[in-house]
Amino acid sequence: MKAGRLLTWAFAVLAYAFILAPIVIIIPASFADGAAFVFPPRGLTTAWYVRLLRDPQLGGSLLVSLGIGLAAAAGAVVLGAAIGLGIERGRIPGRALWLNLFLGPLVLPLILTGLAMLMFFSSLGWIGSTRAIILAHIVLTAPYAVRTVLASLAGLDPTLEEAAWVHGASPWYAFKTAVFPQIRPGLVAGGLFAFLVSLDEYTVTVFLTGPGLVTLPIRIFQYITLHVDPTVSALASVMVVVSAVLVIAAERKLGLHRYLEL
Amino acid sequence: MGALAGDKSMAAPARASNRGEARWRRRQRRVYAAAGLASLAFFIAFFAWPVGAVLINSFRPSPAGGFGLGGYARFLTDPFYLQATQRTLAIAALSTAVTVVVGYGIALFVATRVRGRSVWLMMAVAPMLVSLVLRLYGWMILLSERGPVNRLLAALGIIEQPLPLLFSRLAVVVGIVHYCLPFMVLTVYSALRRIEPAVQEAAWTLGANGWYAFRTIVLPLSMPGVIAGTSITFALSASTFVVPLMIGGPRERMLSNYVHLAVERLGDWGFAAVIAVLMLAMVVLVLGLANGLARRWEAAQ
Repeated sequence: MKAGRLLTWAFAVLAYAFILAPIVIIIPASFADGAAFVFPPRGLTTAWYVRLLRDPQLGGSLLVSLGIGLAAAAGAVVLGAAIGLGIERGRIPGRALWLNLFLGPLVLPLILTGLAMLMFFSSLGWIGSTRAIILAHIVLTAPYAVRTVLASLAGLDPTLEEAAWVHGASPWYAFKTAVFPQIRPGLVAGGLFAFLVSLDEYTVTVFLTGPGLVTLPIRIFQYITLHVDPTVSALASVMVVVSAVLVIAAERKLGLHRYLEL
Repeated sequence: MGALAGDKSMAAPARASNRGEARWRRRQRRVYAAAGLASLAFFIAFFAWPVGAVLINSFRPSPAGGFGLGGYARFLTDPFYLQATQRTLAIAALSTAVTVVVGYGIALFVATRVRGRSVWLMMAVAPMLVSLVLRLYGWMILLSERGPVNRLLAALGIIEQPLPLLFSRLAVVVGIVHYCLPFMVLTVYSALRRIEPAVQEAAWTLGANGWYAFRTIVLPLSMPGVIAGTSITFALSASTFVVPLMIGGPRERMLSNYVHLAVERLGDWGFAAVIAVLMLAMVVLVLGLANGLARRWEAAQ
């Protein structure tokens, strides 16, 4: 029994070290004095954070990606709510088929979706435009919102809306007071997932960027293939800390893990 | 009806109320259906239609030429691309095997925790919410020639010269496992939660009996979750683009990378479409196989 428990914990320690190591390592690496890929470093410095603030390309791409992420998340949430409510409450026929269509971007190889977006948006002359990337990201991130909305609708009591009717409410008022508050946590969780996925999207976006428009993940990759200094580590550690704070806050407020479970 | 003509006295006769309720419900359903159909139209325009265009373009290997199977014939007769396919399948199979074993272990570990279960779950799963590009950057630091892993191995006296860990098959498999592990843990954990009492029992009767209970009860009952997780992992592994791009190097390119190269280097969108469609066929085949397997398993139970 004792050996079994020891073995269990040894496995758990190794497995969790594997999961967390590449994320945690970024933070000390960002203070490393010297080249990016020497660790442990010879000394500590905050120079890379200073250089990060002065780097117009990384900073510019960060702003571009934050803007696209917010727009895509907003679009994904609206679309996700409309799809979830339409399928569950609007009783559109062919439920399973449509659901598969809406979850399709999760199943299809991303490179195929990327190529599809390239062909489609180039026929419109939209390559290298923010709107093409936002529209593509809405398609890619809407499935997350659809899933969180469906999850919150599954626990929703339909009689509440009827109760609102008994009190003479219009459908809009009934939605606003009886439905929306109950799906709001799902919408927030879906919006958070959509934002984080958009901020990280590479495979599809790489087909849509132009000379003046490079999103953050692509800029990061370009930077590390050209430079060996840890300026990217400084940016990466800021992003890791911000994502960690967002995820922990969402877990506390919304119980994020409920939406992750399948 | 509704609030405009509405009867706010709440003293309406029951019969009128029933008729009004039916009308109100119909109207409400129409509103939801309209919202659903609008988003459906959006998805058809910006997703289904473009993807359909890729399928069509894969039969039009050159912009000038007509329709035909030329692109497919070119792919299937070129040893270079056949080798790339083989490499992609080999990497995906190895990564999936490792992910199944480690992922099942973690899910079982989480499911048998009495306290702090959601914390353990989030620690295993939350990394999927951290940017993959950043996680791969972390692996670049860890696996580099003068990085922590090589230093540790040297300090332990296991190696004398630093190993070329980065830009290798090993690095790609490590990256893919790290990318897919959260999905596997989630699917298996959900399956284990559905059979919670059996899992707890097996955990409490540790030792020979516990192992027996695990093998004869827990493992078979959680098999649908394992099959689902395996097929998701294989589909994700076989179609990954970013992992070989960042930590694989030119020798470990996978099919997704050749789609991108066909566009960037060859400017041949039709051939890129051929590779992408063949990748989709592979994924559909694997998902279909897994689905059939899961059904047969459930029927056999």
